[in-house]
Amino acid sequence: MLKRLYIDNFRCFVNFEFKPGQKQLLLGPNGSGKSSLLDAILFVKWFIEGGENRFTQSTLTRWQDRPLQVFEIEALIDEKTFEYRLEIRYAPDSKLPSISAETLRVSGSPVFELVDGEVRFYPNDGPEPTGLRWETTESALHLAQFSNRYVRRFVAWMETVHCFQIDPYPGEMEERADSEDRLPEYDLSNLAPWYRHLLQEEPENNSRFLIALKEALASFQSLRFSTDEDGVRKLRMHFATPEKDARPFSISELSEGQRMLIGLYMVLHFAVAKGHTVILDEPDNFVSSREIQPWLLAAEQSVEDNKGQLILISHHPEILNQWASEYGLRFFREENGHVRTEEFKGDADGFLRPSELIARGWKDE
Amino acid sequence: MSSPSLVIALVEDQRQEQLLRRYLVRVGFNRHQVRFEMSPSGQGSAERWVRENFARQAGKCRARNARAKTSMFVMLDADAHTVQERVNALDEALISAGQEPINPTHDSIARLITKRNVETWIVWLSASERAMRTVDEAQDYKPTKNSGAWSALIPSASEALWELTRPAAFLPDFLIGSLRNGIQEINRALPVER
Repeated sequence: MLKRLYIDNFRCFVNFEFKPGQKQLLLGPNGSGKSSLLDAILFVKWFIEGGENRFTQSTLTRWQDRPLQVFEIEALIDEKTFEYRLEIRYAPDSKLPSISAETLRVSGSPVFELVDGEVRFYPNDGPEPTGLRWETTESALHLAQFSNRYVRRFVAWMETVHCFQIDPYPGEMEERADSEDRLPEYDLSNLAPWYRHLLQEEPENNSRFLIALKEALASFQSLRFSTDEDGVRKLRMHFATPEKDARPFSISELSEGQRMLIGLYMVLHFAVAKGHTVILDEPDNFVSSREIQPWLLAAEQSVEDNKGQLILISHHPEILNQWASEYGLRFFREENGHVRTEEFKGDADGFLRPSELIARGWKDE
Repeated sequence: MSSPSLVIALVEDQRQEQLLRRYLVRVGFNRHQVRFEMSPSGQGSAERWVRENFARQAGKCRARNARAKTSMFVMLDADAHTVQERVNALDEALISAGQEPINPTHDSIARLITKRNVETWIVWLSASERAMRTVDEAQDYKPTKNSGAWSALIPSASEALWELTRPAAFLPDFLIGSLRNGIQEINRALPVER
């Protein structure tokens, strides 16, 4: 479980600390930093996984004149506290930043350190760290994965931290599944390859997923792969038609709302239900009001049952009214400065619902 | 379009919602069949919000029930009041709105008045038999646990509530009074196979 996130000198975050609960709703005006928080976690996750490095000069806080950017992630994993710290230094004349420090501590003790170009390994059974020169613009954590089980555990845990900005626009969700994808993309663009993997690996969750879709999508029958005349496997949604027989539809034939619902229930049954940490940006986009509370209630129960963590970013009245009073954290920026947060406090008289309070702009008074 | 809501639940807070949600799912409702309306809380009185919204919601449910089966649950903490005082207040809210008070024969409206509050029910429902006997409806158990600890007890509490509302369920003589009333209300308002 993600316990703490610290960000300094990244976009609108300066000396920013975030301690999420098991269920958390991030709310606040446009431009208050909610989605940037998701980006920060996503960039660090990609960095650790060795994927695309998104850290560039343009991510530094505009009104700060400091070359050092810092990220810290604290997580409770297997009852132990893991603390990851990343320091990125930007030279004015260089496009690529350098990694001035990358460290991982478990219960207060170092298990990996990269400091000023020297990597220190802490093998499982060796009391003394061994050193190696390593000038890098990439994460060096993978170098220690084989020698230290805590490093391996942390990297594996990071795979279970999902940041989603589901993109249901036509053409964005892949319906071809030439191969399997073990992990979802942040925008679910690999929906079909990921589902092909899940179909093999998680039949029980898949049964629950299909039942949920039948409740949420009128006339929905099933999800199946079929091979077209070119030998390509494609995901097809089968819906009952007025003639009563089920007909296959391609993803592109569905509405954005239908695609979004399929994505949301995939996230629920294949990530939240596995006890993962899920950060979901505007899950309500395109979704009918009728569908939001049922999904949210199912998600809540899944978080409770599976000891997962769900952090939602939303402006939608249904979500605000259900979660803001108990789990709301309000993001705000004074005079377009750095991001600050405060626990959401509802209407003092208990009369106005959170969505109404926010819609009136009375929250700041 | 997914199926319409068959149960409307008016609750004070998240904890009441968690208990009732799990119970209704256990009974067999899917999440599209249940609609929760929750008090905005804040620093105001959640009880007052539920009471003030009750008449309007009850009117809508009664009107719909005439053409399609619709049940309603209203959940309130009695706090320092008696269960009967809360029931009377709900009836008065109906009368003030120009409606008839609850008619147990005709209305599918369950008034779940928890005494002292929902935490008392959770303590009783999740306790061992020996511990159940010591549960006191006058005591406020809310401060004795943090939010996470209460949440952890709710799955077993909702399961126990389901057991107690099954046909021919045995209700022990040490069952706390507000819960006994609540079970009767559920059985009256929700006559489904459990």
